[in-house]
Amino acid sequence: MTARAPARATAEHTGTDPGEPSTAEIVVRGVTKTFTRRGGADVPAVDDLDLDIGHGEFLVLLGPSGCGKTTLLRCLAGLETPSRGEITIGGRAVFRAGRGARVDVAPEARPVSMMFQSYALWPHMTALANVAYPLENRRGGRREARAAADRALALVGVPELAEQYPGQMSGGQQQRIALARALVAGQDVVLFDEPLSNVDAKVRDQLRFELLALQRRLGFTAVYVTHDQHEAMSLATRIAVLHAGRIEQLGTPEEIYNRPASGYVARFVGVSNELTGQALDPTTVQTDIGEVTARVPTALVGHPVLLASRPERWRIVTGTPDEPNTWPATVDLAVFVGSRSEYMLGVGDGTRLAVWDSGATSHTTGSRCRVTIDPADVRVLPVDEGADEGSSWS
Amino acid sequence: MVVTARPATPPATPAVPPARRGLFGPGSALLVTAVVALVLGPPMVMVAGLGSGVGQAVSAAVALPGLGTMLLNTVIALVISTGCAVVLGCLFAWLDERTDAHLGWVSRILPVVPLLVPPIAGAIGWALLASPNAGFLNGAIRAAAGLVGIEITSGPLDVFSWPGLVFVYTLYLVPHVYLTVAAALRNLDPAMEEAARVGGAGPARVLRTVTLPSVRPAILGGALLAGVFGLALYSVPVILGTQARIEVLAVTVVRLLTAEFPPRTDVAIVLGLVLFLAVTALYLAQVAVLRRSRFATISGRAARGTRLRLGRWRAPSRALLLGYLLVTAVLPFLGLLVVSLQPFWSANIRFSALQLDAFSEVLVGRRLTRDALVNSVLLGLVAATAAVLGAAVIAYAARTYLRGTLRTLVNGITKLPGTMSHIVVALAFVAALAGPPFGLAGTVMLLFLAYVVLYLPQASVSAESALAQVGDPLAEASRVCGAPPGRTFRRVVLPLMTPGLAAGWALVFVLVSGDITASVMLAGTTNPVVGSVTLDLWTNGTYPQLAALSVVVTAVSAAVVLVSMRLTRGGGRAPSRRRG
Ligand SMILES: Nc1ncnc2c1ncn2[C@@H]1O[C@H](COP(=O)(O)OP(=O)(O)OP(=O)(O)O)[C@@H](O)[C@H]1O
Ligand SMILES: [Mg+2]
Repeated sequence: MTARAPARATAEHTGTDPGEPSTAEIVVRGVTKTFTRRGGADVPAVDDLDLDIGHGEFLVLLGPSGCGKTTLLRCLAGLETPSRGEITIGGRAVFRAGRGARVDVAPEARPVSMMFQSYALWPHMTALANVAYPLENRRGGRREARAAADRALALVGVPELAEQYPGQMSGGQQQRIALARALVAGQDVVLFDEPLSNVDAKVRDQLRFELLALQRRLGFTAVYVTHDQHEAMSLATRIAVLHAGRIEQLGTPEEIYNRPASGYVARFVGVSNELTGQALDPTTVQTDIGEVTARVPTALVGHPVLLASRPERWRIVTGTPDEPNTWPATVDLAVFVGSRSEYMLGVGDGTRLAVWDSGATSHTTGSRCRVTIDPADVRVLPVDEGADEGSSWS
Repeated sequence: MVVTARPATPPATPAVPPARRGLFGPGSALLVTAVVALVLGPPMVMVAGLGSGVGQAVSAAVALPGLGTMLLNTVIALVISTGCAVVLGCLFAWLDERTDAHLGWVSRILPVVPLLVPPIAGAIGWALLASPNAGFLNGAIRAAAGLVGIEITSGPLDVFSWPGLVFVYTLYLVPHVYLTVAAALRNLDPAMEEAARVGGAGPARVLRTVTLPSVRPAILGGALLAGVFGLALYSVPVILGTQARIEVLAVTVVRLLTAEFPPRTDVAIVLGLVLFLAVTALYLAQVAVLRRSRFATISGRAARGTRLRLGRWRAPSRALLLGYLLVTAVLPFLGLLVVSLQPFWSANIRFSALQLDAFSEVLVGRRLTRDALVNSVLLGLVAATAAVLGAAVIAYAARTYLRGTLRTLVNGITKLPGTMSHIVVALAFVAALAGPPFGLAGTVMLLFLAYVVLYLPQASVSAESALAQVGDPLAEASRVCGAPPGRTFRRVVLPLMTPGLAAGWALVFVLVSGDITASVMLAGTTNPVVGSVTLDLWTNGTYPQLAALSVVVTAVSAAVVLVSMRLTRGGGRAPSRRRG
């Protein structure tokens, strides 16, 4: 205790921003990581990013390739040195540059562990030796380390692999060993970089549920990188959608899906029908297919807007109901995909809508129908650069 | 307590272990400093030591009798032999990579021929085979001519001549060209050549218009590599050129230092600088060419195309490949073996007089050769281990602690001795460390330091490629698992580098134990090494013992090289073949 006292004292005084005190497990303030490409161009892989992650939370970093997910994760682990900013883990500043004394705690001294996309199992060690390694480093005691590693192997369901070398295991088995190695030392924070992306869908689904159960049981804080939105939805307590090194939206899976903050988020998470138009008043938007009734945020009234809606919120109706937001349409394409029917409808002059119906395919290609949506299901968003791509169809 | 549930609230005192400050960081910094000092220090001291006497030294060098002839000799020998080596090297590479004359093992043996039979042994072997009077080949030719009634008293071959010198030079330059051109051909998509064939071009035309132009950067690179190697080659011209009165730059420098009394160190340094500048110019040209070749080569794993059928040319082509190995390795070695088993060297082999006296003399009886062998093997073991381990630590430390320019600089400095000629490095060690304040003249320490610096580039190249194979994530995973850099190196990185390091170790061992240039200039009389003793024996004409010593050295080199090739080829990282 005495030996460590000075370090902690520093952390307590300067660990969090005095302006916004935070009790979160991980606090990221203004972190920027700039890479210099060959040829000299600077790429801000992580750009002035703020993020608080609570204790025991399962936070998923979601975004397309190259948006900086891995870079952010590596900054938390200490494998990448940010250009600027401050990172606090468990109340202790592990990185700070640009303000006050510089802090950069080495990866081995941070209270985190990590599961790598490529697993990074050491091929010259058995499964047991791989899993025991973090304990030998952190607590010493070879015997106890081996015993604990045995328990960890049992926990991830592969006790029989203890004496195997990684080269003698299937991909799914290697994954379990890597998971056991990441969890064995009982670190408060476990980082995952697309740990499930290298195995087939069946194994992936199974491991996902096991991972979630383990996290709930052991109570560690998880930060999980993926670009698979399905994976993100099923694991996360909160999702951070990244865009060019910044957080585009942070929220529960439900919020991200139903109330996307931008066209970018709407497009990236799930399928989204998009219409551009002009907000005339707080309830009306003028678009190519006519007036759409929706709730327009006050700030957007009188501005060009983007209307985003989910395919499963639209309904195909017959007859002539006098609901608002109803348009005549032609069925351009009708596909039955098992759990639902998917339609591509043409509305007005060349506007296309993706509409999903949970029943059997009851409308054939070329037939005419009417299509409608509840005004509450239409998100009115500011126009962004991807807005003109129109609706997407999966 | 490992994987049991934790309390829901975080403990009041976060369980961060105190950062363990290992000795690895400071230790590796110290090592890097020492290596930089050893690599850069001596040449700087050497140049500085010239000081105000530089004008005098330059005019003394200019006034050297026969300077012009010597420089001209050097240029002629190198230009012709490099030219021949390029033709042969390209031909061999094409035959082995693209035609059905291909013999798989040739592509593995050919580049390491200079290691199997070191140039000094090859040069002596050829002297034994083709000296005008006592050469075995001459004896055989004369006997054959006598059978058809032609009487020849001397010759007809004479290795102590321009053709002989260029011939043996060429033998040792071919592997450098072969290596680079064969590698380029392997990376060249055969579909390009097949497209030309389908387009109606015959094999010769394809070779001329498609294949060779596509690998032109590699050919140039190989030629420059051969030129740099040839410029610094000392053993071949000292054995063959001296007797033919053809002196080249490398020989002059060593002579000024070792055969003149008092040694004319300052003049030697001036000539050494000329050598250094020539090598540097070639090296820069090579770097420029190779850099351009990165864009010229066609990347991607080549799909194996079918090999060109040579038809009736197949047998002669194979004979040519085997012939090269025969004249470079097999014949000289046989020549050495025969002489080592005879009481004295003569053109007529007396099978009744076969004896092992020379071997027992060299290995047991004679103190000088026995000590030389022991010293060379011990120095080989220690210097190879030091160079390879040091290079491994430096490579890993540079990757872990250094970024950008500094990393490039450190990695570059470990390669620097490769761009200087051995003669210059040894000269610098004489100038800087032999005299006061270090006073290392004639000590084993001086030899050890010089060997480590001389062969650091080879050690460092193998360490870097071994490290590259380990890859970042494996080391990073260890760091995240709580192991500081030193422990990560010991437990994860070093074990995984071992196969690559073993190959580098074998290479450095062979080079050190067979080294001649530095040995001649640095070894004292009290601690002889194989290189210096070999030349002594040559000068004194003690041929059976000389041959026996060369046979022993060649056997040791070949054994180490072949075993390491075997191990690294079957090895790699194949954990599935481990126990379990
Ligand atoms: N070492 C590096 N040097 C230069 N640029 C880099 C480096 N590492 C990452 N980048 C750049 O930083 C950006 C973010 O990379 P990062 O690896 O964090 O993306 P990611 O979100 O993890 O993508 P993916 O889903 O493909 O893994 C990219 O533009 C990438 O090109
Ligand atoms: Mg990534």
